Amino acid sequence: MTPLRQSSFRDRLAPVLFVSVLSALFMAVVSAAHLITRPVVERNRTRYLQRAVLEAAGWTVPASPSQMEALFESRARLASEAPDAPFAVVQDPAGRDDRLVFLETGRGLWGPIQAAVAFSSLDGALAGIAFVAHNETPGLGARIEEPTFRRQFIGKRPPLALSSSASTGSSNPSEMDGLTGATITSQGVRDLINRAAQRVRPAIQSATPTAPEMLLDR
Amino acid sequence: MNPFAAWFALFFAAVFTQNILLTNYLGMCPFLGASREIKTSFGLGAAVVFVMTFTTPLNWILYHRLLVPLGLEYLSLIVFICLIAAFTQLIEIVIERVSDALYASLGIFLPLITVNCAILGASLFMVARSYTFLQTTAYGFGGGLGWMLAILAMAGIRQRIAKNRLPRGLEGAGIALIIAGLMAMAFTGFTGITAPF
Amino acid sequence: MKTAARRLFLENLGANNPVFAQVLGICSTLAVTNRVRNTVVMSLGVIFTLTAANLIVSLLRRHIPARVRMMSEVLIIATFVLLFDILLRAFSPEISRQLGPYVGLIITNCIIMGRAEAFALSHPPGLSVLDGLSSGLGYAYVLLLIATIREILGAGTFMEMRVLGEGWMPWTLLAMAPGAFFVLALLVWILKGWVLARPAVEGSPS
Repeated sequence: MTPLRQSSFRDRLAPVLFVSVLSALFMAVVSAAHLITRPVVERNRTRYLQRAVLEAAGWTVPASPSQMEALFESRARLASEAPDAPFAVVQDPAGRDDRLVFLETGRGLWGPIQAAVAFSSLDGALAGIAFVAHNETPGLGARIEEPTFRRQFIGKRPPLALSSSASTGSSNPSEMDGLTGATITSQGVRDLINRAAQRVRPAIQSATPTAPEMLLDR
Repeated sequence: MNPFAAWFALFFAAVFTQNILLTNYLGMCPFLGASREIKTSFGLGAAVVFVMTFTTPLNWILYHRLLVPLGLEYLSLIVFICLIAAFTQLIEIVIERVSDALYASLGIFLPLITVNCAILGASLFMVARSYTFLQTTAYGFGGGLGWMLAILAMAGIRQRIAKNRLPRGLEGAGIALIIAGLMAMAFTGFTGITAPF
Repeated sequence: MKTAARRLFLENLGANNPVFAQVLGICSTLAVTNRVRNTVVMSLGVIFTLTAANLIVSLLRRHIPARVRMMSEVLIIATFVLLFDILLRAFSPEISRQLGPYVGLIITNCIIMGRAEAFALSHPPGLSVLDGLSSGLGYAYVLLLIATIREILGAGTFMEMRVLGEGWMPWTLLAMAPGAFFVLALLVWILKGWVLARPAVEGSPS
């Protein structure tokens, strides 16, 4: 009996050892690759954020990363970390008012959608939107990145509802068009815009303490 | 809303409106390859329900209590798939020892479960959507049940048409794909239902 | 050896094609083929992982204990998928953003696991690499065919370049999953029913 028990113990130990060694080896390889590429990934992430903030505020962002970073340096400033404060305040390209840019996250079909939502600091109307991160299906949900979809939000007044009419380009300031075949994505975008809008009111009040009450008529 | 209703709303969504197979297109291989008979589909579905219900919360614990505090989120893919593989291996051993009948009906499907993208996908979604532990239990159980529902429906249809003559080349994978396409179209109708979460 | 290798290569592309003959790797087929560019990247990822995993599994085939066979295969595959994901995220962030969760799901692509089990475990490294490469290519061309149809008809573009005129009303159904199912079904039908079918011989076993 004894020889059998001995070999069965080694039988049970060897596989566990094998898998552990293999796991450790592979985790080391992956960790090395991750650590080596981390600075590059971080820089990409920051650039995406800056580009989205500028686009949401209405700027035509140059393709070259260094030019984009220069534009960000000169026209935008990061605001405080307080939850009611915007993420960044960006000068309007036309020079009229400041754009308050909030980062907000909504729920898409394949994961969270993160967007930069810009509001006019004068009257709280939507000034633009740009997407920082999402996992939506290319050709369907991912079309929220297209300029034709994003353009519709300029001037609208949240809270928004998805337009139920078949025609596109609704001029109703409280309605937005969804995307065909991407209902969940469209709902996620609507929800994140409405949530961002709730954060605008206190931000405007604190940014322009002498703003007349009639502008904030809600 | 009260927590019980919230749990149930998420569970309902995981089964129907966000069905992991017909909305997120995960778990296709066994769905198309092994769904000819209701009996085998039931066994496969039950195995998926069992594994998904337990591995998703277990992965939640691993992710939020081990990987995040150590800053090792990038290893989550390897850790998740290892847990799933280890869990199915363990369960297979247990079932084999405990019950021959259960092993005959359930155990033989377990090796297939490890590579079922739905199981891994459920864990990945759980992370991406930042579910709480309670939400994860609803999502894991509901997701598995939804998958089983889809494969049972597919098996039912295929059993019905098993005696029909099909155009040459369409038997097997071809007709299964067309059925799947029609089912997917039907399920897109669910996206109109807005879930209160 | 040469003819065996060549036969293996051709079989994996045709009669034993992982997608339409073995019906494997379907999850990614549906999700990724609505854009040709994403399909190209996904195919590269699968070819890379298939070849590398087959190589390692074949090299280790006499050392892997039977009990942990599947788990070891999964580990090896996961490592290469993660490496591909990391490289993509660092050097092609735009595409990495578009592919999102699908890259991670390459791990569960049944083709890779299937070939490791069915071939790499029992064949020498040279043939295993060839098997991985040819299976990957077999997967790639089927997906590219589907993606071409889906992108051109579903969006009017090919590789992000507009191909059909502005007045073209895109067939959105093709951009959604049902469209992928139907296009793949059509492809399977044509390939199995006509291209691969041999005329029925009297008295031969079915």
